[in-house]
Amino acid sequence: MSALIQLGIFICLLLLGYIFGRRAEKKHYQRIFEGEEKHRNIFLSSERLPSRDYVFHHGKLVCGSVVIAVDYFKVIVAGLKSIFGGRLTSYESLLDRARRESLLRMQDQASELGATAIINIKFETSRISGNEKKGIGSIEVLAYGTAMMDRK
Amino acid sequence: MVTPNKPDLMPKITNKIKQNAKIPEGINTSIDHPLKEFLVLVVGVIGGLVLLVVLLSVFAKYASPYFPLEWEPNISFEEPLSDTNLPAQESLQDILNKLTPNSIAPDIPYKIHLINSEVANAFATLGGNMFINSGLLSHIESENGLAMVIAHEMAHVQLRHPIQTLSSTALYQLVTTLVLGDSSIATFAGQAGNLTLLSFNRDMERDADQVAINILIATYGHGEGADEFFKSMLEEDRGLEFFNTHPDIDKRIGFLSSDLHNNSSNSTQKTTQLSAALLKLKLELSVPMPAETTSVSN
Repeated sequence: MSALIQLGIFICLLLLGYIFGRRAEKKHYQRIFEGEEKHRNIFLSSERLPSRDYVFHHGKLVCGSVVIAVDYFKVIVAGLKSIFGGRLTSYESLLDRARRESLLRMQDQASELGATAIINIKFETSRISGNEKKGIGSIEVLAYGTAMMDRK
Repeated sequence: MVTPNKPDLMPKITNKIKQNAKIPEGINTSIDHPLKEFLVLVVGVIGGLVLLVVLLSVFAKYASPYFPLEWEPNISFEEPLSDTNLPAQESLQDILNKLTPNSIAPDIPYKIHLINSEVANAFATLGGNMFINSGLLSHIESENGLAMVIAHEMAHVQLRHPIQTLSSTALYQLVTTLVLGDSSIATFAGQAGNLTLLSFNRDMERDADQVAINILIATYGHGEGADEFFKSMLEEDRGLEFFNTHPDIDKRIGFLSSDLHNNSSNSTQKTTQLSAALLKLKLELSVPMPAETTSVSN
């Protein structure tokens, strides 16, 4: 009987993780698509030096940071997958969302400064409470770069 | 001489607004449905674990006869019991001695112990030790009913079930710990393995019932009273068989009655009375109390 109860709890957690995680992911991607459309004119580049287009611009550091948590369903899928190896697709979408969201937040800052481009963009990522035993992990993705503003 | 055109080194300032390109989706991420991958993984892992348990159980079944019974007490984890109710204990031993010559391995040094517990249960452990809970007596009417339970536990010892269960469980835990470690899916794997082990456990119970009824018929000349305990336990709700250590009781009664039908033509044989010491114990217990658990034996 206790086996049944344990299995039930496990399946409930899995189901909760799946339903809420999936819903959150869908909504988040929707927001990302809208944000990317909105900021299409704030040009992103990883060039270290400004191109000749920006000789009359001045630069300012902007950054965007995102902390994102993984749901139980993704943990289990990744755990099962790590027995066999291969793409951890459940984590890929999570990191993809975090990277794109961090760019968007950086572009939000840049747009408030009236910038038209961000150059020298770099990413940093770190785990938060990731070393806790069996804990559900979360990650931070930080994007930073130099916003270019017209000297007018 | 034609002078080649010098490249234009002066910065050209374009007034065109630069735009971010729209990046196609599904490159950094997978566009497959996450449940699809999950189902493939679950089927693969459960299949692997079930196969592992089956292999280990079959291995334990065929390897157990080569493990000397004399070694078993050394790996037993139970504390030696001090027996309290000596007359009842002796009566149990008498029944056991009556049954022993008819068992398939009469030279095993069986030991029987009476435990003071309301739970109707009996089990056999390593080293030929058998335990009968006193609460079991309230579910039994005659000596034959009790002899069936004892013969069932004897059959477990003869068929080397305790060491099989121990070795296959220990090996399964060892392998899953090595492969999965302390991850969150270790619990998941444990459950999948346990449910498969339970099915082997139910097979053992069936085999033990089969051997026990033969011992009973050889000893008393008939199988009357063999299903007393099961019939008394029928009223309990046990849940789904798939999650239980024992087969459903009605199935066990079914097995028994088909055996009885084959072995004895006359079904109106008399059952033997319980001994005075056991009757006394049964009376002491007969202050009405419901049996708490459902498990019959190990």
